Amino acid sequence: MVIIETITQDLSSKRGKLDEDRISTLPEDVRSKILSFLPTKTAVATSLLSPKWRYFWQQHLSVLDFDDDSFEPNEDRFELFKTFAVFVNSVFLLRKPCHVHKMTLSCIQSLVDDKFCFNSVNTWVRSVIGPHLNDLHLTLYSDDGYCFEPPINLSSCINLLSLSLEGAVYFNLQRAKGIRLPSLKKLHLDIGYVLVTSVSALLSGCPILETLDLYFETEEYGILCVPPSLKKLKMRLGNGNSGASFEIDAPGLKYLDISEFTFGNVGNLQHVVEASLNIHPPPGAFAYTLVKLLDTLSGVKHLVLCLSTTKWLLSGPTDLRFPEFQHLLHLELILPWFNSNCLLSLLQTCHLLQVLIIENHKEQSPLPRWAAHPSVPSCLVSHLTFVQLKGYRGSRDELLFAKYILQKGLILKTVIIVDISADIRKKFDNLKRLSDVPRASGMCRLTYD
Amino acid sequence: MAEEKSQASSSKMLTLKASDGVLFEVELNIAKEMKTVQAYIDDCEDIETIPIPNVLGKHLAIVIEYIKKTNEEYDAEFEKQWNMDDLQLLLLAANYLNISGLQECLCKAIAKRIENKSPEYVRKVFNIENDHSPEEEAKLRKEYKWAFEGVDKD
Repeated sequence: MVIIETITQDLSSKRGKLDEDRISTLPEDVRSKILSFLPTKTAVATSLLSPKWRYFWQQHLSVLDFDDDSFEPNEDRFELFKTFAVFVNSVFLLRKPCHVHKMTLSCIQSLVDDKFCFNSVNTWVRSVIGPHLNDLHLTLYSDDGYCFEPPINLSSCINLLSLSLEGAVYFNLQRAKGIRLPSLKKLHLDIGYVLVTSVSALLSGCPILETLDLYFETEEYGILCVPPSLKKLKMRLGNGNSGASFEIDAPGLKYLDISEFTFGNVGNLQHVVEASLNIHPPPGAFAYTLVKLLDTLSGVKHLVLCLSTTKWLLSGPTDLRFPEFQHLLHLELILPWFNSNCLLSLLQTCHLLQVLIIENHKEQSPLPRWAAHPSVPSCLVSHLTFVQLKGYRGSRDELLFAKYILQKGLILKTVIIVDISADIRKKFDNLKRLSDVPRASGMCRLTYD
Repeated sequence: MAEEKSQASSSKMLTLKASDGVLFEVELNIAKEMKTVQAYIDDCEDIETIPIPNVLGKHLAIVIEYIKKTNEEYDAEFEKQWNMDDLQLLLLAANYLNISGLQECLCKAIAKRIENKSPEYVRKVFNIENDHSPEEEAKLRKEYKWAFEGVDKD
């Protein structure tokens, strides 16, 4: 609960001890710290608070945060940019030269493909680049040809810890090869078209990178190589399956999220705790290649397999050996079609599973039946407490599976069925069939949607 | 020998005495997070009760709780509970006791409450006396016109 007391007293009246101005008496470095968390617009406005505050921001601005969204909106983007540029330039001119260690620049409403915009942004970035810069965040959107190219002297930011580039940003292979960021720990790229090899080149200049969040578009069949120092990796291709693949060998990796890439080469993924995979098979690859990948994720506790991955997995032979997931607690599957026996075979290998979420996309008709298993998966008997079936239509196979879960799930607490049948009567029918099933678990609650 | 000593000191308890006389018994490793207290201990090794003259009991309790529980989640919820008065007093306490993590958390919280607000709003929130004459203020506003386009309505 946030309680903000707005004191509605006459400013000219005498104030009692309880109404002290505490903030103006705080030590300089503390006030400076507060200013460093403010958008620069608010920081500058403190000059109007009282004579004591008039020049404070100028002496103590080592963190810059510019946002064109905080200005009066204007249909004419260029006019808005000019107003914004006056503000930014004034701040740069008035502030006492002290090293900027963090800059955030966000231009979403105002950039256009004009020399003035181009030169302004470049100058602003260039004026903070240097060994004192620790954090740089650029969000630059435009609805025309404006584009920002990271300057070659970005390499002088030898102490840059965190870099974020979003929007109309582009770099070619040569520029990427020239950029070295030896201290960079966190990189966020959310950009448009760029070559895979350019991204790889950029990443090779970040030898101690720990967190990488990547989103881009490409048409190239390149291989994306990521630094071995990574602990957290999220990468997505924006334009679907382009054939671009990856190479990951990161012994310290704990978190992995890949989408729309084609499977390449992996190693040392045994410490990954959470993984989400939406990957395409390379041409001619068998499902067994995917099993090998899943095998390397031997320590995974939380796993999400999306459509491209599950399609690949289920295209294999019906006696495909699923990997043993010794530590898996949470499993989510988005399936191209529903096959209960195949699901049960998979559950046989997840002995500690607590949460199971399945989404049926019913893209194809079921393939050959998998052999039924004589024994009940051990997770059903001792660990599974939560099951959710989305995209349920009440087909014979889905019903079989749901019934099996309810009948054998000894410690189930929650079962949620999300039925997408269009016909209300069919839905009711499906619900009735399930609610009549005797449940092994006394605490099991069935929720039907 | 050195190991034994450190083992004994990690379970040693210390008493902190707030400005209003309230006493708090804390473990040594918690008290050490307050660099001011650490300096006190370094100076006089055998001390059992340390006076904290600038901090009220109610705020010292909050500070100690913060040190024990701090993590990303706790910090995010922590700052929402206090009114501006308490935030400032806690910040003064954190500054006096020299606890950098808490200082940072509180500065962030205070900044969040005045983000994008007008100078009038900020003055009210902090009780800052406006020593400007109306002419001075008008002059300043004109000078800083470029900084005041599109500020949040309070």
